[in-house]
Amino acid sequence: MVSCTTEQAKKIMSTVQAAGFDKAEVIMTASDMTEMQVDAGDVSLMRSTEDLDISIRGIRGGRFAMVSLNQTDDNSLKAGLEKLNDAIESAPVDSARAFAPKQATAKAIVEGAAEPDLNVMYSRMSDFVSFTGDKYPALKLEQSGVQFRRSRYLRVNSEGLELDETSGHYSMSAMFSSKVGDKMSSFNFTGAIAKDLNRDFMQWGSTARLIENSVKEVNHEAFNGKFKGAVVLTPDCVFDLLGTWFSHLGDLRMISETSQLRDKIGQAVASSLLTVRVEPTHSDFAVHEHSTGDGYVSAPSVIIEKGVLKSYMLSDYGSRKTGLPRAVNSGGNRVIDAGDTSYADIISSTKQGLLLGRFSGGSPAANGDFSGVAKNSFLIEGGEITRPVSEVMISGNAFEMMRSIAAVSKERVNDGGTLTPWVKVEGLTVAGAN
Amino acid sequence: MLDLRLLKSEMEAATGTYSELRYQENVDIRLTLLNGQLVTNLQESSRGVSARAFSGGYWGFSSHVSPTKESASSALKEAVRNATFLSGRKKKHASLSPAKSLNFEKSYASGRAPLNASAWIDFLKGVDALITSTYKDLKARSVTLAALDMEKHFLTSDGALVHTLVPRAHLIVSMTKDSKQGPVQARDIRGGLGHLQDQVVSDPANYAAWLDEIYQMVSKKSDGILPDSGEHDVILAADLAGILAHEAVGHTAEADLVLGGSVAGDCLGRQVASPLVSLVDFAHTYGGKAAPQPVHVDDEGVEAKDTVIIENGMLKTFMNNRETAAHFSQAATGHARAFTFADEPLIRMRNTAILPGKSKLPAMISSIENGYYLMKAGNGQADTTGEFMFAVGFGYEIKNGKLGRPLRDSTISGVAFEMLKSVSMVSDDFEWESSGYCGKKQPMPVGMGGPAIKCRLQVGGQ
Repeated sequence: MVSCTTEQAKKIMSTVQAAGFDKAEVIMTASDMTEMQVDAGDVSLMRSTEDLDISIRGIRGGRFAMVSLNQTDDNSLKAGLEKLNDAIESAPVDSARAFAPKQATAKAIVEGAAEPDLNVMYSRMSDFVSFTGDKYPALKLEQSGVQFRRSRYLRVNSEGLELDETSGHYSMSAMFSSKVGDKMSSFNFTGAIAKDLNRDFMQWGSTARLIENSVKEVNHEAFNGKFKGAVVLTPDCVFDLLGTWFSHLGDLRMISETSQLRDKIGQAVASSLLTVRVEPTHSDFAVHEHSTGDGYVSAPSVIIEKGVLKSYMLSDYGSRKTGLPRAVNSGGNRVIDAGDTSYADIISSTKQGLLLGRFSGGSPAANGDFSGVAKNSFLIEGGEITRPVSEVMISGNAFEMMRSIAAVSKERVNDGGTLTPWVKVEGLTVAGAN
Repeated sequence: MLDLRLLKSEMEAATGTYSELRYQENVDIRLTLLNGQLVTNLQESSRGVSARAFSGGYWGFSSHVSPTKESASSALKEAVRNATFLSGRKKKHASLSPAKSLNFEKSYASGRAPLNASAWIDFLKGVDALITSTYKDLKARSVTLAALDMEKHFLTSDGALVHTLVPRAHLIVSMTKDSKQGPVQARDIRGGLGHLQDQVVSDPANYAAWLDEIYQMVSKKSDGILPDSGEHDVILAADLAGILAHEAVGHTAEADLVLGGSVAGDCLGRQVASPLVSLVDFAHTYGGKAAPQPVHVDDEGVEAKDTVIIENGMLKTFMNNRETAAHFSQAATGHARAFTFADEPLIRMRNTAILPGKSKLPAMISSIENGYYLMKAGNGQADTTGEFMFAVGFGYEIKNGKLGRPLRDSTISGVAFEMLKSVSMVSDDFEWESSGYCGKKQPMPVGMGGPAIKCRLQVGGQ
């Protein structure tokens, strides 16, 4: 790994302070990555990269600027500092700019493997290619791969903060579609993160289920019709749909005063079936958010408890701009509490609906209206999953959707960093081609 | 600066191996004023050296941040080692199409003196002040400057020695207004090929008419309706025709996706669109002018040429890298591009466009009894089946051949080769959209363009 030490970070910080900045912060991230990539069904590329990012932030007279570079030589640092100086000159005074304080709970963290096991990486990947090729002849693996990344993250600032986090983890990703003759399914993709390579890739996250579904999806037919009714969100697309809603708890919407959720703390904003937490220390996760994007040690929080909004998702800056409380994490390890209905019961209780595999949607409107194409999806009729469908669009409003959650499954999918169930929502418009 | 030619003998020493060395620097600038507050004030530079080697039918790649001869030498050795790791485990027959030995240099820098960050911020403040002094009923506004320079030097063992610099710069403005349906937003982008001082930063007053267009758009949207969901006759303005060319058609014709089973694989030589439709991925020039994202030589040392994907409705070819060109016995025409020094080249589009036709836009609108005129594109996604989706930020309903009520945000979708067969009119004008990023493992700046087209597709609404 390229050199990345606290001493280097502190030295850069001192240089910034000596250049007349009131406050300074330096974040250094170094990483080594090794990847084996499958293309068109063959492990065809092995890639190893070394990377470094040095983010230098300064505050002077209430003005803020930052530059980012990836070189440690004196000339590059000098040029970076000149840019920082220049960028701060015309920046408007913003009293909300600050750096995180020294924290007693900040301690050096080292987790995960130090080095990749290249032979096991290769055998896991080639076994995955062979297994899926033998068991699912219709399946076509597209860009897929296994990656090992070891990184060190250092953060020091003039307030005395020192964060030092080193982690190593494996991740796998798979993109695939299925084809029989001239009939083919939509592509789908999945990915998961793990501390080790002890399990084969079919067992990671949603991999096996999505591959099995892909083969079934070959026989998709266009859905002709339109109804307003139930959509069962698979764990793979829950946050794609709910993401719009969560963005209204964050900095951009809150600072610009376009959030629909401002002043809603303590109020019912979603179905009482829904509880959403952030659990940065969850022992079942392979990756953890140890600190927030602005340098605070992350702590667990509850965003929604039984439908009631418990906290915003504001950064320190967002908090100062709005006068509302800072979130104690950056929302990295999201957990939706398991419900009390089994997945089987959710399906069998649905007379007419759609099992949504993937959502290919447009940028959501500011008022929460959304629409998009239902991909890798199945029709539910009379309590059974009857057939795969294509050319189906769904539309609705994110805020109404959250209040229309009718069931949350007992089963959940752990992708290494989040824990997500199936969620049934009512009242979405499902429209076919004709 | 690193002179890659110093590594030439080392590359030549690895017999039986094709190799590339690349030294690249990307410079990103992003500044955003949100309601007058500078919430983003960032300049980012990333540079380094990478090597890629092709041996025994497999690729190896390695990169280092330190742009020295020693790092380049290490990267080269590691790339060969990585390819050998794979080739030692399984036999594979793959080859590369031939490439000419090229010596090429091209910079799109204008030579105009660069501005500093103070000038950028002053410009943003000027535009913001113009907005606040003119439009009093906005709920929120944001003004963003975004720029990316990509400078590449590379050397291949086939003898290509190339240096290119392609900058692009944009101004993005969004306005938000309250309405009975909650907040509505409109945004638009100006800029293109060149640095901020060439393309964007000037007297804010020069943008007054354009700001008024955005304000009119957000005001109309606040009284707008959602379209009726279902299949409709529509006219896609140039903005949407370009994203259609890229997302719905272009991706399916990328040879790596064809090998992955995309729908275009079975359609070569077949009629996939109305005879009114011709679709070209331009390398660097259109109509005698530089296209938004000019590529003269790709990152495998292949001379970039225009690729005619659809000609009068017939699918003619795929977009290839050297390996897929050899596989399909087609020409490599310069589609292999990498985003950063640490990325391997992938098959990417450059400037993808539907060619203009002969119809006039007003006649196209008056030909529709009941449908929509869709004008502003948001994000888009395509499928290997050709099914596509993109967001529509603004438009109008068409009733009895006339524009009716304005539309709020919506989404459209269809199946490319079915929808393209429904194209019944193509306008005689043409516009480029120059700010697009394509996402396919790595991001990549691309150009998209087209005329207005009349077709039938699905509209998502209520």
